[in-house]
Amino acid sequence: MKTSINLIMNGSRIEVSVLPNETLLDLLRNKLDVKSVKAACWQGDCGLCTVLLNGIPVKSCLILAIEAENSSITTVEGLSDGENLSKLQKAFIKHGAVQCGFCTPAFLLMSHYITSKQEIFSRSEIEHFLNGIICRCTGYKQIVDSIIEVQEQRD
Amino acid sequence: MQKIIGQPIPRKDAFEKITGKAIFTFDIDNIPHLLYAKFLTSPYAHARIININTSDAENLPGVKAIVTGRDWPVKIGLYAGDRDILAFEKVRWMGQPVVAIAAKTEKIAEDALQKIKIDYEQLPAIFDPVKAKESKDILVHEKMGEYEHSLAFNPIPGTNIANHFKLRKGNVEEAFSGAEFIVKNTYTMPQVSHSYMEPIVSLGHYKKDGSIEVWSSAQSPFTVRYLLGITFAIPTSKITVHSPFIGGGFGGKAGLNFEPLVVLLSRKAGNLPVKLSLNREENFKSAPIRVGMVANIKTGITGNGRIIAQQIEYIWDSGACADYAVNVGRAAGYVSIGPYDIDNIISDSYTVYTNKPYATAFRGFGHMELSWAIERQNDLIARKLRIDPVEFRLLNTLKPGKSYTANQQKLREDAGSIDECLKKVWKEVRDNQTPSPNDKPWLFNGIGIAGFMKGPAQPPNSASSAIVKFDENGAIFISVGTSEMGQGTITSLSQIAAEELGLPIEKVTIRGIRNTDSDAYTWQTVGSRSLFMDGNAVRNACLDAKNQIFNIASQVLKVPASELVLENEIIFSRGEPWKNLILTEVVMGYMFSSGESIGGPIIGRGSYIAKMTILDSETGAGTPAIFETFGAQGVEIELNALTGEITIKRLVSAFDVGKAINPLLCEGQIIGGSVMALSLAMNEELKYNDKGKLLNPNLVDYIVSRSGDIPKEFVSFLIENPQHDGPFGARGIGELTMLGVPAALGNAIQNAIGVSIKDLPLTAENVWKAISNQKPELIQQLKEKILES
Amino acid sequence: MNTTISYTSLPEFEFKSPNILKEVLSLLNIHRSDAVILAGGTDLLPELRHRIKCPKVIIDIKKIPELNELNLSDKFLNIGAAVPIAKVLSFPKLESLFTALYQSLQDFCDEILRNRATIGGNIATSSPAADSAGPLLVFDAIIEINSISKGKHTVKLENFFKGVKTNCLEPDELITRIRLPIPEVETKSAYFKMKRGAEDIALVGVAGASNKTRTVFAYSAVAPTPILINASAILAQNRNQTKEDLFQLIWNQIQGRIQPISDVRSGKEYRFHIAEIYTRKMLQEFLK
Repeated sequence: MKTSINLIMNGSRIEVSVLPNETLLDLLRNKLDVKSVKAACWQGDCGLCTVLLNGIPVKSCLILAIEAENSSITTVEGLSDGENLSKLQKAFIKHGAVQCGFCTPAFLLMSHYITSKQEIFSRSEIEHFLNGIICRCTGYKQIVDSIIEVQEQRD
Repeated sequence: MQKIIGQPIPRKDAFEKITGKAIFTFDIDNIPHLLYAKFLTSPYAHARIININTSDAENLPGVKAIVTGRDWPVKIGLYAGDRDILAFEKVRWMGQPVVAIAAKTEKIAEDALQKIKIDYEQLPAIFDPVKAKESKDILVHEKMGEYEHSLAFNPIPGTNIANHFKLRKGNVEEAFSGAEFIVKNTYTMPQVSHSYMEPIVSLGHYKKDGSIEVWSSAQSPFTVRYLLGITFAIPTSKITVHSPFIGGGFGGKAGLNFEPLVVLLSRKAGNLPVKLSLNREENFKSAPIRVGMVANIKTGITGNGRIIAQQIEYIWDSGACADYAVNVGRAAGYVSIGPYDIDNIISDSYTVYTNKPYATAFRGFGHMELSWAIERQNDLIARKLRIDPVEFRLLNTLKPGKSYTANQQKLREDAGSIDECLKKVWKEVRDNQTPSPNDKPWLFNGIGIAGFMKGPAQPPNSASSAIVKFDENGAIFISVGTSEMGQGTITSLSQIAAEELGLPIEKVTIRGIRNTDSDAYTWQTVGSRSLFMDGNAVRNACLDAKNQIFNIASQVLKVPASELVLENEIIFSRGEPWKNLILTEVVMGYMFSSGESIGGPIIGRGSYIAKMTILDSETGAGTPAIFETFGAQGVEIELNALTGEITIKRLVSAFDVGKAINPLLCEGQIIGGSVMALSLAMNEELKYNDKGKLLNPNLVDYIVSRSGDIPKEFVSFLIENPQHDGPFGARGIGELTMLGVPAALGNAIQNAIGVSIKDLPLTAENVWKAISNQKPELIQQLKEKILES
Repeated sequence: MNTTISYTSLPEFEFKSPNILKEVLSLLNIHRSDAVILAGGTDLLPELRHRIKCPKVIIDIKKIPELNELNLSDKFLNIGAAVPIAKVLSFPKLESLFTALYQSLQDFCDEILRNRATIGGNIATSSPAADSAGPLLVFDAIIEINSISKGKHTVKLENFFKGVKTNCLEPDELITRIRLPIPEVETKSAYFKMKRGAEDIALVGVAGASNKTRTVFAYSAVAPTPILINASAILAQNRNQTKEDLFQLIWNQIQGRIQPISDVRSGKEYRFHIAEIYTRKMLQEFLK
């Protein structure tokens, strides 16, 4: 039974019709064509489906689309404005934190969340925060370096 | 003075990937009338298929095609034609696809599969590769004799041996009798999974006009095209393969995987395009994995530390098919002994079938496995002889310009230096070793090192090509066959072109997406070959372009072409720079003031073919590789003897890359490769029950490293002894960064606590077990100390 | 469970997300075993995808106000069944009052999943390895349950778990709150978890809490249910023993109760050994 729900998608109000057994991941990738949100496990182990739901990172494969009713969703498209990359995106490029790119949107969103908090986190605290997302290419160090650089730039 | 070579410039595809715009095969669904596929798999490890009843599924609304092995019983394979598109007559592993359905949605396909009824007759299965090698009554491929195979391989019909590679040098019997010490051990490594993040995805369209178009997350689109042509008896000129950005490959996407299946479905579905996207469990069970290894090594050493005899048997667990794995066995076979100068060698490398998921290429290609065995053995020998582990190795390493390799070739002078790598790493590891805290007596500090080498495993006629085209602004567009799966070679190739043509890097474009119609051919993107082979092709194409440019400029400037220089987009006469032309005036053809024009659009073309030989089938003598990159890796660990947990304090690596074209990308390979190797060494293992069921087909119980698992500190050295036939002296690095880590870890554990482990993975539990078995009193003593602390 | 088809889709079901508690209880009363509760979804959605559960109705409890309360009264820390773990972690006094729970929740799945996963869900799933179970047991947690048939009632957590993934909840019952009695001042507590990597399910979990009058240990992943063991009497009666002898007395009691198994994650000998090591470590903390 389809239900019509309202969402704010990267700042724009939209209305979509969803089935109960459609996940937020399905909705984003298949209906709304937001291909930056990836998937590699469909059960919350890999973290590649991470999006910001009302500003908080969540794994969209474990959320039914209908649960996201009246929420605001941010994906990587909502982080930069066209050609102008965010500080974090520039840091990722500079440090070589991108290789195949499949995990990059998820790590960017999580890194954005970490660097938007007031506190300055240590390297091991940042590593702890990032445990929920798998990267098979980079070895993670460069991602952590990027976050540390942006934290330092903040003050 | 090089301008761009050696610069850590950011990768060229960074913008697309960082904004989420990069398209992977996973993302493609905007093709009209696209159908979605799903398959069901074998519930048994070995069984005859008696009957498949699809009638209840056929009429479900939305179902467009149902295929079984009968629909196209052609065996596929690059080197050994032993694999069915869908199981035909028999199933050979639990997880083998048996029936596939294409439907309007994936959900309809899933629902329809539930209606399929299959009868099987179970057969005895075999899972242990050592037993499988000897078995004559449980045969995975009883019809092996009828299969086609490349002549470079030696399958033995009537057995489970898909390939037997032999290396013979000198006289091992005599050497053993003269040896002062003999050390014999067995080392093992289990089958493991690539766990690339983008799962395998293929789209196929078998069109009504008999042409085929495929999109696939594939490292070797030209191989896919070639093999599809053979499989479907269609000329390659009627086949187009697209390979967009690949979300991690590591060899797991190196060959032909599910492309024939989607093409077959498309053909049966009224020639509509079909997409098959594996989920993670399917990727573990039905897609290929890495060979497992059992290595039996017997080494003879003289009193003063020279290895005079090496006798090795490698048994490679290839699972149910051996397509790429025969080559892994061969490659490991022709190296066998590592970067060492040994006069007397017998090595037999067997690729063996078992009733488990099938093996393919995986970063390191037999060399990480053999390095585990050889470098653990070397460490144990050094201990026995009471010689420093690196001193011992240096007594035996290959010396450029002097030593003869296992393949009876004199090592070239500019091959690079394993000695430099070993010394550099060991000094760094030893000088900075810190002791364990006194108040925690169960913590032990240890260091370990491993040395290794690898060159690209490819056929002797493996080739690359490149085409360079200019636009009106003097910018170039380069066509290559190199696939982009994260390693960033495309960026290094751009740097080579920019340097050669004196262009700013912004004026060089190479796309990361492949299309076999329009891209210049390369054999495959595997084996750490791309920088060297495709790099040389790019360089040759630029040189060709430069010749054409100078040819035209020479006519205009009335100066011999040999006196012209191209720098900063200006062509000028050496010594008389006022005689010049701007590049843009020439690259589309030169127009005189009268309007008469000469030349035309410059198209530079270049190719490069490997300089290797076929290896002697009895001795393995010949030239197996175009270069060997030497390297060494060392670790400092802290081992908790009570729990077996290991913390990696430092990971130090050195590679003789010849020339680091892009140090940032090299560092990316070093960190990424070492973390992947640590993950494999410490936690990864495909676990099966006694019926051949894979027990951990998911990322919960197949453990890969996360950010909290990485070493506290990385130190990397890029050594540059240039190889003169490499582009700007460069050799490859991609796989090398994995090779030494497992052995370095095993050696560090030995150093820390005196416990010898010969089997991977080094999980906390396995380490604890080894300590409990070898030093039970230690555990008892340490337990009591917890309460005293 | 069909092992030859690996599903990507979820099965079909009706979805209800009531705004008041009475409606949840009414739905449970009507549908009973045909319904499942959805809080964080971190356990449920994979079960749906693998067709381990194919309910007719899914009831989302996240809009129910009482289930989202998190507060400290005179005597209790009250955690609503639908409160995400991240929110519980940010509760100012959690670390000082309930250290073992804090340590367990810090390492509960990962930072992202902690924004959705709930203690209520963790308890309801009743995995033998449930990370929150050990700490809750050592703090004598009380589970508040409600249903139309029985009304509001409580069960001590130590009586809640019945077997692997089974508990005492009837099909029409809902966990509404977890209540933790505030421990005595100067209660030490800790949680130790053995993992295969930086983020993992517990191979062994050992929780402990100790003060002048009461010392308890709780073990997860080494028996069909999490196990609570009271060592207070042993400690009281053996003040003059050496630490090693004291440990042996306590361990003797524990050994008899835990029954680790070998599975794909770990062997039973290792689990047994780690349980001992962690118990020693815990006792050492308490005796300092």
